[in-house]
Amino acid sequence: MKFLLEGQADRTTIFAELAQRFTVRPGKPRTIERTFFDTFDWRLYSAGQRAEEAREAESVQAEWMENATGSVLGRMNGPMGRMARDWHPAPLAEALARIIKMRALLPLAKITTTRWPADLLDEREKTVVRASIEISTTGSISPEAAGRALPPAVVLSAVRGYHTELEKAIAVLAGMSGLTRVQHSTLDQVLAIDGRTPLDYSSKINVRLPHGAPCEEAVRTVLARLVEIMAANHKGTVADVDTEFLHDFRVAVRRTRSMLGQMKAAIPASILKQFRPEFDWLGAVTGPTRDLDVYVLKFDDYSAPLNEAVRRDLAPLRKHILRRQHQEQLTLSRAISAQRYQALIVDWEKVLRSTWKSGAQSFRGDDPVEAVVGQRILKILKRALRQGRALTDDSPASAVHELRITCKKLRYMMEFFKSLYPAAEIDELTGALKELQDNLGDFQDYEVHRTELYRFAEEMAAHKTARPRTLLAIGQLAESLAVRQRLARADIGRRFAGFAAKNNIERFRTLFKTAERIAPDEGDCNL
Amino acid sequence: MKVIATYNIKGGVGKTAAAVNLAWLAGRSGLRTLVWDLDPQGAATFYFRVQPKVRGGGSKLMKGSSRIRDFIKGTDYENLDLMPADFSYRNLDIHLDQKKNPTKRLKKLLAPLKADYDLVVLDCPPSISLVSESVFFAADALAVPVIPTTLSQRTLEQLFGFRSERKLTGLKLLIFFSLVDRRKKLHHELMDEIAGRYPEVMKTYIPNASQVERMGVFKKPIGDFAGSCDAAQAYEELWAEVKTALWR
Ligand SMILES: Nc1ncnc2c1ncn2[C@@H]1O[C@H](COP(=O)(O)OP(=O)(O)O)[C@@H](O)[C@H]1O
Ligand SMILES: [Mg+2]
Repeated sequence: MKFLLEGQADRTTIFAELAQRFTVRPGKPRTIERTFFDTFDWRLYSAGQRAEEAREAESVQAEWMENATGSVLGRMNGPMGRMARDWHPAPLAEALARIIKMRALLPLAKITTTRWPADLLDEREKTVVRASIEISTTGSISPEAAGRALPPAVVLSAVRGYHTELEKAIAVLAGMSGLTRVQHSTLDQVLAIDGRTPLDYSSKINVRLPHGAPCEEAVRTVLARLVEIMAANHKGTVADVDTEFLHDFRVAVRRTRSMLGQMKAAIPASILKQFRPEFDWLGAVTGPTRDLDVYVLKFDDYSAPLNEAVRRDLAPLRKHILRRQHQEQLTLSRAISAQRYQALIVDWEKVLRSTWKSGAQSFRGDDPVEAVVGQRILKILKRALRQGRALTDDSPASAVHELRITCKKLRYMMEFFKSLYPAAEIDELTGALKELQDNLGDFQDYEVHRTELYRFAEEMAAHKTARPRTLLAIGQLAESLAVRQRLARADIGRRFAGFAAKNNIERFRTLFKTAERIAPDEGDCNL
Repeated sequence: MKVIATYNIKGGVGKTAAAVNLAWLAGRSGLRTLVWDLDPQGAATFYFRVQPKVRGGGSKLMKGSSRIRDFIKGTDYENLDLMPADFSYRNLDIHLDQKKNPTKRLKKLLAPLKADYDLVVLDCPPSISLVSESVFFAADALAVPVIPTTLSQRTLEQLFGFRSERKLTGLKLLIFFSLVDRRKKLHHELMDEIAGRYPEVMKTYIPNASQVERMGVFKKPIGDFAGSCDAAQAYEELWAEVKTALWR
């Protein structure tokens, strides 16, 4: 609960007023340098929380708290834990990880606060409310916003189970002139001064496309959004702040490539010729690091079913993967810091700004977007159904992989043009598709990660970093992944059947069918 | 969420002192901790200056365990809350015998608190009663203070017997010596002998120290007013052992 002070209200009068109802026990004033933290995608803020590093004379503490009330969810001695795993004790790390997952906490804003605390006690000398008067000035994360004074504030915080007493204290302050009660948190205030909008990053496409817009314009709008996502994640990817910068960056690249492939009818050939190889290159340079990131993220899950001794023997493997990740990351950072990347982005943004024209017969850039998209989506759907129905228990992993790629294309198309269709319908169809995709994705991950184990083992043997027991443990891990892969494989049939169910496909067709007649060989979805 | 109970059939052995001090240390280490005062005498409630009476009262409290949160009080310390004695008295002692499955009652009451706390410390009343059966069933571990006397072996035998009789094999027994008089040769001899016999005995013992008694004067955990004295250090060492045993 926060009140802002104005005019004649000051510390002495406020504490004197509170003393009419409580025993006021003032503490020593403290000056604290506070740095606010959140993940790049505001995971704490979205959950109504924030993290704060508080430095005071010799001591430093990391706190995780509710944003509105400041009530503490967890606290530890020492500087901010950048990753959830850096927090202790373990239950605190786990609780925080449930919110921020694998993302790093990054500094958002800094302030210096001088705090005059006072405990408000009841007749048993029990603390029932905590009060403090705070004067803050902004620090210097962005230089323009440094050194600005925040309005002085009185903060009341509740002690659990003493709500009535808090209400009493609030009533006392509310009755004083020169105080106004406010809802926003200090973090909100500082962000406002800093000119930052909370929740200003999302990896979602989130574009509103006008109905019936020329197809090329809709395509450019989505592509512009994708390059924006790449740009937002570029710095964090280069610096390897956490795995999700590269993840979001790479997804944006993949989506761009998918768009260039799926919607080529609306893109002039010269543009495709110039940019497709460039984005293919970007896809290729970001791939190896991401694969290793995924391996590291899944390592604990993968090794969990093995017994403790085997898990111990796997420690050198984890180290090896981390080392490889580190090498690949350096290559990646170098590649996307170079001129080729910078030029690509500058040129691409420029190309996306002006209308696309083409004299080619097949160019459909001026057609209404829904017509082209609907037809395309149904065509990919048809391919997915064909590939899925052709799968048998004996089909090679590559056949599953192809179905997976097709499903991914379908999913991307639905996401790009989502805003053109009723949200509930598209969400439901996406949900049905996702069920299948998750399964295909697991299968593929097991396939890739299992095969990679052989490569790792060879590398480790060559570098003499693996003792025989580690190699044997890797063998056990490979076997365990093979079992999980078989389980995932066994599930594909069921999931595919769910996705390919008649009414589901009917809904796809209803949603995406176009006014235009679809050529019989393409349009008949074999329902 | 882990649940530990301070337990001994005897009174005056340092159960409440241990519950209060261990919980305070847990809270200070960053664990979200709840002390649940199960003793109608309300000693733990007293140490935290909380009003022992809860609002409402009677069997009304029994209905819907989700409201259990409403009875919890914040202490003067971060990360450390208290369930006052009166709540337990009304909810457990009186009503346990009327319930169909009294042994499971406490565990059920605790379930909705899982998301709120990392550690619950139950401060038990002396005597074997329905409450203690309920405690055995709900707890991951018992912290058992034992005064080194020739009788303490019997107490331990009974406890082990009780555990196997009730098939509570998962229940850890963390035995520690309490009110130890360092100058008494007999205490040292007995401690050596008992520790040799039971691997469950903790390395740390709590000395008989006037600062522990003074907790009643200050109404505070020992660490908050005499953090550097021997007894406070002993509780810290004991907490380190207990923590390892709980999260091993
Ligand atoms: N280590 C100790 N040294 C001195 N006095 C103690 C010690 N532990 C407990 N006491 C005192 O003994 C009495 C009983 O302790 P208490 O913790 O309430 O035992 P219980 O909960 O087992 O009945 C209290 O007055 C307490 O102050
Ligand atoms: Mg007691």
